[in-house]
Amino acid sequence: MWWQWIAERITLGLHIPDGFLHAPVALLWWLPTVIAVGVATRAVRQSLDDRAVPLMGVMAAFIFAAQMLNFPIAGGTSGHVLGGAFAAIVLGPWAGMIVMTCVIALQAILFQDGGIVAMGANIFNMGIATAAIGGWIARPLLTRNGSFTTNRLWIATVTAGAGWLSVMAAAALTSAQLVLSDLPAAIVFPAMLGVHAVIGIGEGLITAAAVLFLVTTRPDLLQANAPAGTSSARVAVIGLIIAAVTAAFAPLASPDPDGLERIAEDVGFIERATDAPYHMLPDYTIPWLGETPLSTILAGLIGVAVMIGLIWVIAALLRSRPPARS
Amino acid sequence: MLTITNLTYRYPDGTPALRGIDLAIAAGEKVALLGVNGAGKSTLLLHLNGTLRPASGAIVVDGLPVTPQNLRQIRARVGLVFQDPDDQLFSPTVFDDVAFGPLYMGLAPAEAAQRVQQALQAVGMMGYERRAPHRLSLGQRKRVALATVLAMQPSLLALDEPSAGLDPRARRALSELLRALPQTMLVSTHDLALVADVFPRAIVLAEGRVVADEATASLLAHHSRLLQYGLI
Amino acid sequence: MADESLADRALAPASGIAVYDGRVTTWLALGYIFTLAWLPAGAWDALIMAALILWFVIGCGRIGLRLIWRRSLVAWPFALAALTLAIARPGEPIAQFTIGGQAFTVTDAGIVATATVMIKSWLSVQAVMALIATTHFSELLTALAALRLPPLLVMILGMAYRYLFILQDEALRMLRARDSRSAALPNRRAGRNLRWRATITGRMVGTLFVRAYERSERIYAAMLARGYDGQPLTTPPPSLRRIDYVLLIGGSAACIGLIIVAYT
Ligand SMILES: Nc1ncnc2c1ncn2[C@@H]1O[C@H](COP(=O)(O)OP(=O)(O)OP(=O)(O)O)[C@@H](O)[C@H]1O
Ligand SMILES: [Mg+2]
Repeated sequence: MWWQWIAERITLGLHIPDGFLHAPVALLWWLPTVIAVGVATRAVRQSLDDRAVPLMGVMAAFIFAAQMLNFPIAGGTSGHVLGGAFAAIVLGPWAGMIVMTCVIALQAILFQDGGIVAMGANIFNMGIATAAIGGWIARPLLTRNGSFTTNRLWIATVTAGAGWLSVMAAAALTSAQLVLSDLPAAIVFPAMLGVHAVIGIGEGLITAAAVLFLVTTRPDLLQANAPAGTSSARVAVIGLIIAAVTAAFAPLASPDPDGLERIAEDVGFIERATDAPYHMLPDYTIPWLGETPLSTILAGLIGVAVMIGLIWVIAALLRSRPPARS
Repeated sequence: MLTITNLTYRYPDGTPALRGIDLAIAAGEKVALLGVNGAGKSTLLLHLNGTLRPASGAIVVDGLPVTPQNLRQIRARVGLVFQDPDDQLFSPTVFDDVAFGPLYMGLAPAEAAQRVQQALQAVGMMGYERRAPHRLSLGQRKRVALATVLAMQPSLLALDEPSAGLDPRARRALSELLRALPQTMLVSTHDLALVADVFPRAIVLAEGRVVADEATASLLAHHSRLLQYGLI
Repeated sequence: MADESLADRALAPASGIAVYDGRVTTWLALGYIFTLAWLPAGAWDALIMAALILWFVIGCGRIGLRLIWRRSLVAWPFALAALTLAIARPGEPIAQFTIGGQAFTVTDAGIVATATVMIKSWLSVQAVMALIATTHFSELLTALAALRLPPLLVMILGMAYRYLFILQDEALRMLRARDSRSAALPNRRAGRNLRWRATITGRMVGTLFVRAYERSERIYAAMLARGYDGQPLTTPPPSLRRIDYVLLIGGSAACIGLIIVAYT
């Protein structure tokens, strides 16, 4: 039915299509994505060696398929799983990021779910952030001295919480990017976070059930990919993510319009702050050429070249190190 | 009990699989559905519980038309077993899979567990409750697949080649089970011994049409017609 | 419903000889989409030219504009979000309305922004569809590899594409099996409760995961059996022909032209 189709599309609302993000915002979000995916690629090559291709490839196909497994909630809407948290809990954060990156890229190319220019942002929201939550928050909490815990209630709580949180983080990041692209914060934040607070419940329940199922039937799979210990770097990352997510959740905690407006203002401030790099070329003109069209075009081209160059250099730095082989 | 009028169906790729099927089955009747590979047997059975939606025509089960609004009630009345047991079994364990139907219908867990025991006993799969379905042999999976609908106690059983892949003893047990079950049945099969044993009436499909609908005894008596329909 | 495979959703590559090099089509499509992203709000002349260029290419490629238009509607529900732009931009007020005591003002700048976003979004989707209708996925991977995507990632993407439809079919079969036994009795509430349904679904996810994991192990064994050692198989792609360079230069010129038109 058409309304179910629309409902389903709205739950896919995390896949930002092209056209919505301002080009600088879209390019800006490619930066952390390229860094994370580059590091993840190296990490996966190190830990999995020549198993990486078949395992990561089939797992990406699995997440793609698992996203279709839904259950009716009410009134034509259905719960389903995004899968980033699950993938990271089971396979580890880096592998989870690689798997989700492939899923999001394939969705954009084959099914036009999510844009191409916006893919950097989409991968960051649904792939990097969700896998970070699954891999760096849930996994350390689920392992004791290098082996997976057996306390089912604890596993259920942590995994369900991580699933919910991953959807909320993705929704908050998506909202932030849309707001940076001039969509109204007073509508986008409450709408996105409100809808996904509910959708996240489905994610949490499915993630918990799936992990519990593995704990009973194939504990060997979980053990095979269990992390060693928690390093301080990991803890730092956890702190960072928690801080970011809490900041993003603030609109929910303060439902009164004043609170919303204040957030909108704060976000406006962030927007101005992130705009600064582009304002190195004031008003998109080159000073000595004056306010001519040529000046605007040149300024724009320089801005793009700087951005693309930056992304390129980082990518090159990440790949120039020889692959470590054990 | 089951009335089908002028049912046609075309797969999304354009294959016309059913071209105007008419048939009626009375309560308690046991009917065999025969025909060569690709005749449309599976396609017809998939319509009985609304898995496929007809391009045109109507299906009425027990006075209730098969429509999107009635699907849940229809599925309580029609127990459909897919031809490929891997299409049927989706749960992590045999117990979970057989218990799914009863639990979904709202039976209490204890009652559902009892239904599971009965159903597994009926198909001779007691003791396999905790096994993973995809680790069973083909014949074992076929039997568990049958158990999953028996546990729901439907009034019409629509079975797609239930005896394929069974060993001789399991086949004899199946034949006895089908004879003993009180339900109305429409069962597709290539197994003429099973047909002669269990089903007094046989319907033959060819290229999506009913080409014969008569007493099994009279059909089996005519060697030339069996040859013509590709049944031997 | 579960009876039609999602595989149908990916347009089948157009039959016949591939006239264009996959790298050229991929790069041009990406360039076109990036160009669109840089067009400012209200650059109607550039947007119209961009649309005409795209539709001309689609028409030349005999892909079927109608089919692409029909399928390009996927992006439209997100257009709801674009509507909010109409009230977000400062500008001449055009209309006002209140929802829940809060007043919203639709401005002219806002409407321009909304329309621009919708058109850009729609054209980008069509460009991707035109790309996958003309370019085989393996060619697309070659093009990405030439853009210096890590080889490991390219190989993983290829493997994911290979097993995508197989695992989707498996998921669809599981859903169909579950649906066909999701029954309701006349006087009883069906479906128990939300938690139970979610748990069943979670176990289906787990089951599918185990099957996929085991499949990846079999694939790994099969790859090792054929001498795979983790190194990417690099058959260097054929070098570009003159016609490819002409197309690339022509396409880039068109993109730059669009930018110039938009900003002057
Ligand atoms: N998913 C599908 N898509 C397209 N065509 C199909 C599909 N499934 C079956 N068909 C076609 O529909 C026709 C009827 O197929 P059906 O599976 O009903 O045959 P059958 O009588 O059950 O055969 P068998 O004895 O081999 O099980 C065949 O021509 C078949 O090729
Ligand atoms: Mg069949």
